Amino acid sequence: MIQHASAMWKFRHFLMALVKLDLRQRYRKSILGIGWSLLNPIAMTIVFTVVFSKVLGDGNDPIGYAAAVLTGMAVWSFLRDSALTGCRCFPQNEAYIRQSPIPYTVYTLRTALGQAIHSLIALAVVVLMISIYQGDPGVLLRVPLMLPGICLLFVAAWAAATLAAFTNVFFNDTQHLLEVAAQIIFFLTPIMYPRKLLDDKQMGWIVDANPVYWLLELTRFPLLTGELPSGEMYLAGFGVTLAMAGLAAGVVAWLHKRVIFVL
Amino acid sequence: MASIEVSGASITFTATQSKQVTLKEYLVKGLFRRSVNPQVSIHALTDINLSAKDGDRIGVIGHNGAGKTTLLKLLAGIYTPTEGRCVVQGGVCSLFDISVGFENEATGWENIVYRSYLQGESPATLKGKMEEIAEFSELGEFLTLPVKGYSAGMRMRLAFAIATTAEPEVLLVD
Repeated sequence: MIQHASAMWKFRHFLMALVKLDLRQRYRKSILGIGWSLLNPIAMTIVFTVVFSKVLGDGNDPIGYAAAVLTGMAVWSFLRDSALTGCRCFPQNEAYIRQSPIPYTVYTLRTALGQAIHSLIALAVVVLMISIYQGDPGVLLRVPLMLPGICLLFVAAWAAATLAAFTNVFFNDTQHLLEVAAQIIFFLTPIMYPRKLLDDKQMGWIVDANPVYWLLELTRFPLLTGELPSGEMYLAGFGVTLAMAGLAAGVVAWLHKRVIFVL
Repeated sequence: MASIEVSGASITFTATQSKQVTLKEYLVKGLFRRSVNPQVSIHALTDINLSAKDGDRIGVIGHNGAGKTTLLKLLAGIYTPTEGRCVVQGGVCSLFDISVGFENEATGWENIVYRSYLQGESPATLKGKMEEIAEFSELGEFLTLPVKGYSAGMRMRLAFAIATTAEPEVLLVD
């Protein structure tokens, strides 16, 4: 494990150069450049504030509803896209893999970092918009409270990308199955609707059993309330992240030497 | 001091008749105990013993499919032996398929950076080498253009220029 980490550290310049290239390509392809990733959450905020807050929220606090949904969407998209693009990670980097024996986790980290930067931009827009709507610059002070959650989220997303990448090498329908699973999890996670809806119908256990919910809440709760999540919430989020990272590390140790023969 | 020690190394590939297995097929096979995509074992290398030290130059001759490239990839650490062991000490630079593996959307200059980092260079060591690589490649103004527009010959020139600036203790050329 230490050997693996030191090999990754040796190739950090390679990794960062490729992440920069990915971001440049991503934003150059759209007409508005980086503005597109700002425009998208702004447009969604308007839709959620005006329409959905009345349909799915309680209608009294449209900004609060929009903030909850947009934060949820940013976190969810990050996890989902990390796993889905993770599936294509090894085929995309195949030429490098066949030339140099650098750890494959460098490539999954390339995927996770690219997605993370994109999601952080969306999250920053949400924070700024809440601050502007509420006319309270104090909202910006909630950002440090979100950092532990964001760090755990990043590790979880990297683990998800790694698991997806390794599975896809052996089973090429992984991406398709993940898309189906992602859609199911999206509806089971309180992103578009408040958790209260399920609690009222004695279905709160569905949320408690959902690992994505705990990762989401560690980022969303501090932003919406201005308070640190409870110890129990941190414990649950940490447990989910540790389980995912442990699983990913186990898969890497088990399959790292076999991937090249199957790719 | 660089050295290569290979003892009793074998590499066996496991291939399936169709390129890949799907998760659905895997489950069906597990449930009904019936192989729908049988696996085939290919012995690429069998019981290889090799020893080399500083200053040695070794050439390998063989038919197509004899396992020359597989042996080099074993020495480079890309393949691990399925049996036996392979220990290579010293910095390794491998020149396999050097004309592939460019970032097509990036310029020649940028690809020099990526490839050099992949060979273990750092920004500090690369600084002085950029001009040297550019000069050796003789691509001039073309280095500012994306690599996707390069001809096969231009790609080869660029790849070779980058590869030759590395100063490895073990050089593997396919």
